[in-house]
Amino acid sequence: MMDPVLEFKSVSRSYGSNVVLNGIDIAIHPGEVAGLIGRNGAGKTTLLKIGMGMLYPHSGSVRTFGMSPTDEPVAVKKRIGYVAEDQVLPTGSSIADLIEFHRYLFPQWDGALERQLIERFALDARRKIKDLSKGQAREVALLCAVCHRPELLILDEPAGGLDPATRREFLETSIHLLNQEGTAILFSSHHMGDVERIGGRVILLDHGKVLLDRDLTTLREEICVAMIPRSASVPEAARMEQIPGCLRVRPVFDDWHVVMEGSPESVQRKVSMALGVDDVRCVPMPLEELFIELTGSER
Amino acid sequence: MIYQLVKRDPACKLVPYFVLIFAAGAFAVENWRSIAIMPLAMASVVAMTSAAQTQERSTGYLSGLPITRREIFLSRVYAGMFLVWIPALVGAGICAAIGSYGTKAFIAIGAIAMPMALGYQSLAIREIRFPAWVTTIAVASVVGWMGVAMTIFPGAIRIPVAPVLAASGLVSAWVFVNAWHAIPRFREAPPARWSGSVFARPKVSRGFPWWLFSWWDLVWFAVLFNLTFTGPWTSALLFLVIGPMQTRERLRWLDPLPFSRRLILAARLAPSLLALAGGYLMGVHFGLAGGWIGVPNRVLMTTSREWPPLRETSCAALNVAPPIDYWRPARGGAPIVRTPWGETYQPPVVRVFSFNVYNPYGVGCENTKHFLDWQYERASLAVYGRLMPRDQAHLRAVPRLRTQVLNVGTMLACGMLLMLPVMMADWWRVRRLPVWLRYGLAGMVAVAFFAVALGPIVAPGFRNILGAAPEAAQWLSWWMPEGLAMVSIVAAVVPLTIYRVMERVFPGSEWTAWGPRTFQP
Repeated sequence: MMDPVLEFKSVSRSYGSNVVLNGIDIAIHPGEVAGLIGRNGAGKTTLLKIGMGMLYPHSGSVRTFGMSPTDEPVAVKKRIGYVAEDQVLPTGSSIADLIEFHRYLFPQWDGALERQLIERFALDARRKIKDLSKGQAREVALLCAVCHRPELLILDEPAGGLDPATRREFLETSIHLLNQEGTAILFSSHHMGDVERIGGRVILLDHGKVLLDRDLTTLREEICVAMIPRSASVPEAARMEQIPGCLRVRPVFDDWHVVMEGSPESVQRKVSMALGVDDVRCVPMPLEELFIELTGSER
Repeated sequence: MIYQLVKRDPACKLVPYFVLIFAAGAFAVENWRSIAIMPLAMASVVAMTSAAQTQERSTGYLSGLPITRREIFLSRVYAGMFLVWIPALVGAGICAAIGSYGTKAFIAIGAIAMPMALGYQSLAIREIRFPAWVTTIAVASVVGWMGVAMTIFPGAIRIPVAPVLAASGLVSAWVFVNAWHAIPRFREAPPARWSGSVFARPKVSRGFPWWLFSWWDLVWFAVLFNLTFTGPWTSALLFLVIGPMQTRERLRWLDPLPFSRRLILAARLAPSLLALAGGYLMGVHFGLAGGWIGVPNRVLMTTSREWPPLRETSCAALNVAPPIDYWRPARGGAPIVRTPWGETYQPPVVRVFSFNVYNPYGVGCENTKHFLDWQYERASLAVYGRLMPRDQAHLRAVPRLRTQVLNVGTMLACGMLLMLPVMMADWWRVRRLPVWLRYGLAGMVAVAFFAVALGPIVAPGFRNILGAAPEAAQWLSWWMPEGLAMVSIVAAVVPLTIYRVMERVFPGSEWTAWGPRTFQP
């Protein structure tokens, strides 16, 4: 396998006493598309910014293209495209000014792609950034992030706040423009639909740790939720967590929901045998439901 | 409702800080006269601007609440009044209590600031926005002329308060009534468009990154230039940190781009430091910077024995006193001054800035008038570079070149030393420290900062402490061998060393907001 374009090794990061990342190990390889999901405050943005060299890890190491993004930020950022939800563009600039500036920063700027995207997004290059709508500004940010043909595209909730049509257009453009040429893409999103549509690999962050790191297809086939009625004969959560392959146990109204690795049939057998109960239903779940099962609170 | 709004107005939260500044300033006026008024007047400009900006920021939030726009406007007017008048009246009160003549100046500052703050609100209500460059040039001009006026007309401190107050009251009333009628009475009126900044970010382009600066930076450069141009460059240092503090937010968009932080640092620092050094050098050469380290900055003909002691005994005979810069270090005692015709004078050795020096142009009580004339000619040639008629000896003297070099080196070093802690607050190594330790360090830096900036002003011997940096430069000038080589090396090496430290810290600073955007419940 080729060397990873982005590699986090035991990365931890805190804000004061709030530990946001705690020993993260992730490697993104060339051409890979990975979706980073997690609840608010799970550390997605912090992780992406550490990968960019915009934040420092408090322990562990980060290598982007084999380099430290904090020691060699210019060399690293020359090969990365970055779009974030809270990204601020210089509002006094026109689109043309901004593009000219990016052309200056990135010698490998692809003028043909720039023209193609301007046409596709129907942007008027003379307009000032401050006069653009939120979606248009994000499109300009995407244009600036992809036209130098980066080897790694980092998208931090890039479609947040956009309407569904714009969001889909935005994400599809990102993916189709770059991934087919071998660009690795790491993106974070709250929209599971986006992740399912785009992501080849899903990384779930929870409480500063990687809770799940699977290929999307595998995830669909090999993770399911067992629902067990909370009757007197069913043991407590602690015992259910001991079952091999158990990822999470949580009470939901009158049931226990147990997230398990394995196909529904095998999980049903395994849970029935381990707990000695017959009334077990196992169902595969869409990503959004799975996300809630893995990270949701008890009800 | 008004009370609830005023209580929460960000402008009101600034009041205690400005009260502190103005209170310290009131003592400074007593001790430092017109020189202290200028930083204070500038601080009041800062106060007004801060008030206007913070109120603008809060409006976007308030306009979404069930509050009438007139209530919002009134609350802002009250908040503005508190911000302007409480500090001004505290300053005036202190001056009145200690019998200083600065009372009127403080009232005048309030009187001028009030209609300006109201005018700003009035413009905001009408959604009138001048282009950023117009606003900035206007503010920079006000600051500039304020400095020049204070220096050229030191008597400006004796302001005719009654007419100024009357004019201020009339203008304020007119602006208020005018704005009041412009406000829709009910909240269903569409809220004003508050998005964007008054000072829009400049265009980006290739070449020198002018776009790193906003028009607003011109104001800070003008303040820096003014304060050093007119003399008190240690006051200018306090303003030096404001520009870089503002930079962080504005440059955040550059963070993901392959742009050298070192270049940003150099480009950001250079204009401020140039304004600082340029203002000083222009000031000393074009005669506006006053002598403020003890002896008037000219060749003085005097019978006085004031500090530094010119003579050991009193007498009616005139003495020649050049600026302190032209005194000589007395290593092993002062040499006897001997004229071609054999008349002699043994100058007394005096201790100035912890250094033994003597006045080589001094005249004793027993010396002849011929000796006095001879010494005056020598002093005139040394100080003015030519024989200056006595009736023109009041002209300001230019400090010696070595002193200029050392002063520039000292001000650059002091300026960067002040900026370093501000920069370090964003340094990742500092950010990872426990909260209590970070706040502890910040507190210590703040205490040290205010002790240097304000403490000496209220303390009895403040002149010596506030003037420590220029005095240290003077001390170095006497201590080091004659000639420019050594002083140039020292003046360059110290600031460059500090700059190297900044170069290490700045690339390691984190520009992202502190903490994750949202925390887990």
